[in-house]
Amino acid sequence: MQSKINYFGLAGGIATIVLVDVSVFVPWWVLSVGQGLVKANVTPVYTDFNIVGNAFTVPLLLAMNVASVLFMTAGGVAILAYSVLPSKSYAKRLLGFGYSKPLFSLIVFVVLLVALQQILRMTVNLNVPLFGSATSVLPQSITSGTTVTLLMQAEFQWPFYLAIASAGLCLAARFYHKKIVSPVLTTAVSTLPTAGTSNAESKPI
Amino acid sequence: MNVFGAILAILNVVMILGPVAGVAVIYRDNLQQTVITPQIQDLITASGGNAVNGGSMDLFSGQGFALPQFVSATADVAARSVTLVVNFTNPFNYDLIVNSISADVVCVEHNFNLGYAVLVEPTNLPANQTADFNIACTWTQAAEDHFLTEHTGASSVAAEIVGLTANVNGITIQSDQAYPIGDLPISANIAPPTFVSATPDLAGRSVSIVFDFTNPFNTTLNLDSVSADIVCSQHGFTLGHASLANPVVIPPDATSRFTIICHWTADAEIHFAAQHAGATSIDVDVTGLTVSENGVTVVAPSSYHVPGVPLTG
Repeated sequence: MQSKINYFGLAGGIATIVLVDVSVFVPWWVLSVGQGLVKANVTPVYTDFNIVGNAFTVPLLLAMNVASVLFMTAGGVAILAYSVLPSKSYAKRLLGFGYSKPLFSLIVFVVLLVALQQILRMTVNLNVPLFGSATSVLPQSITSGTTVTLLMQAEFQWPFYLAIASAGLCLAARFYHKKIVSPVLTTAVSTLPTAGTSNAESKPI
Repeated sequence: MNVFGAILAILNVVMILGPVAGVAVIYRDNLQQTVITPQIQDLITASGGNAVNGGSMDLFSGQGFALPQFVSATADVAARSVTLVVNFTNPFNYDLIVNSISADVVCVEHNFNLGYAVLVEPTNLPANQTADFNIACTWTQAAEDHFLTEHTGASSVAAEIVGLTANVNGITIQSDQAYPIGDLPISANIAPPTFVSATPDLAGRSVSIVFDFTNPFNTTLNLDSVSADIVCSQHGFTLGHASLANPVVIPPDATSRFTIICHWTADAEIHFAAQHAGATSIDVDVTGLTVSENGVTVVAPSSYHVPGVPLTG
């Protein structure tokens, strides 16, 4: 049998592993209020907040970050393993397990960001930008009637775009899989006995 | 194959639920702390809020956050302005930068708009420290008329600021509250220095001239700069430039004495030789006497005549 490698999967797997590593140090999304008065560094694998010099993490978020690290790392390793052995019988299960992890993380990250933005807009009328800058007025119920206007700046950093690329590569690996297994199947089918024999080992994968 | 698929499915569940379950177990006695940690609770408490206990969080009424305190005020009559010194204690573990402050200044007694106040320059307030910053209040002609008609003879007027707008670290704070800023010194009773005596120093070719100056304010003045020109009374020729001999501190509402020294210039020596040959003394005028203290500049409206300054021993 001819040896095949799913290069999309290989690239996607490496990108996913690299993404997990760099995301610990470089956030996907940064929100800054005022001149650094409040700062939030957000990634699926690490999140921290700094409010007037007090840095803190939220345990529940930390747990979700740890889950994301495991989730994405497992996905990256699975798709790497699949990529070098795409013809193995368990390859499709590895692919199915791995390719969706970066995409799923990216979608959940964006959905949660948008949801948080909308919740803040609806509950306290706070207009938090997803990117660029915006001014917003704090509810006077928490400011003793004083009008407090916040200048907020947000931006997606390069790991976010790496996450998109990683998800794209993994998705491409999923589609490319059909192309690299079809010739194998063709070859396998052509070598099978024509009738009356078991075809258990040549099930499409 | 089914076993492998099942293992992967279980792995999926364990990876997602495992850490969350772990945190839930760690904080099982108080699940609220999985989101609102003691650190966040302290932050909310420090800012005066009780949102966690069902109340409303209030960022500006906490004990840790105090409004700026009035320290002193000085007037610059020529510029129609008063510079207020206020201090503020930064309660945060974070340097604050006050970029701008602006407000209207109002006479408390008559609710009359006296002018406006602005921050002199952006000021850094280091974390957990108290720092002073200067606010310049500029009053209008209408305010001067108000002083003359409603506060005749007064040396100060009780004032407050309204419509306060401040920008701290890029956050703009606007308040409709009125903040008392104490008694503002006003220009009505600022008197120019009075001449006392003149003493020549023949060896140093200079003259020392003594003045009295009354501090009309209820705050200590640091007299740190005085300048004047010394002019020949007979010919109007400038003989030299005088400056303060030593810095002087003038207590509130007190009169203190200061000395200025003028060294004759080379041109003055030529003038003496050419125009006052054989004279043993000369009459001079002290002109443009300018006194500066605590940012207050007072220019004497007229010159001071000093007769009989000796030229020879």
